[in-house]
Amino acid sequence: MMDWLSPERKSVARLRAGDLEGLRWIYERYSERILNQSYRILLSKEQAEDVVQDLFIKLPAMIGEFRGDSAMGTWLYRVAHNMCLTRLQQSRNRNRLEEENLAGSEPSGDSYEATDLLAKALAVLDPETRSLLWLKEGEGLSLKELSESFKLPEGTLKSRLSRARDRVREFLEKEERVGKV
Amino acid sequence: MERFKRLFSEAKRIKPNEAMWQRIAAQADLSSADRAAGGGYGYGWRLAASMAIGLGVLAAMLTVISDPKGKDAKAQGTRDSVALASAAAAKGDGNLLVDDELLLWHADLGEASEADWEIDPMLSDPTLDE
Repeated sequence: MMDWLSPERKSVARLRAGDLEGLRWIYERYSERILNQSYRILLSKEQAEDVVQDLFIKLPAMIGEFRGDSAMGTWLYRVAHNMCLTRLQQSRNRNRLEEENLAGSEPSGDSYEATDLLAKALAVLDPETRSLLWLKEGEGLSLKELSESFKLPEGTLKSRLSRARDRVREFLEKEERVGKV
Repeated sequence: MERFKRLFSEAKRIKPNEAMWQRIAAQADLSSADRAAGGGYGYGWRLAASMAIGLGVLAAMLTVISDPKGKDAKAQGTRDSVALASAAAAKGDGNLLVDDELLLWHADLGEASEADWEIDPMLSDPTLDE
């Protein structure tokens, strides 16, 4: 049952009414989580900051899409996820054009720190799976919340996450063998 | 703790920089929130309208349910008029053709009243056809 008096509901109502304080409350509550989710998908701090900034600038125009039948955070995770994947796709298209025009130049690499083992581990996965695994293991979302957020059956999520964990474990074992862990 | 779990629990978390909110506040178009909320009618208005409609429907239902005395009185009056009409038919009054079953059916529905069965004075004037 919806809690009409919750600060989140009040903030959403304020944002719908065009009140900056509504946007600020939502930003302060969710920006760090969205930033870290974006970073784990894009593997770039700079690009993750761009996504977060873009998302909150556009949030007033998008708020009509939020129906309130799930938590705000669940909805925001999906919005951020989609924005990150769109950005990656655009980046790949740009790189492909650049490679065709400038043969021999290096494509732009990820800007995660070399010491960020998790970033290296997640890099073995596709971006969508990175997002799911991070939200499950890093943010503690339940399968049910992930299922609601991404409109995927829990069974599908379970098997996808299981395969993702296996790949990350394989990566860690390999790193350990070469003495990097 | 398993290495995999440790990987996530010890993961570095990044924080938004101080200037990010300033940039967002400067660029966000809050007037678009009202448009996004539904064609000039905000979420609050739509909620109020939905509640008003719901209360109206509830009030109408309660009115119908809570007036059994009025409905019964009307039904009784109708059954009386049916009895009168049936009695007139039994006397062989050729001016009135009555189907008892149909009258009772109308009575149950509350659709017939005594006034409905009054003979129209215009129709009974035989000189009208001349």
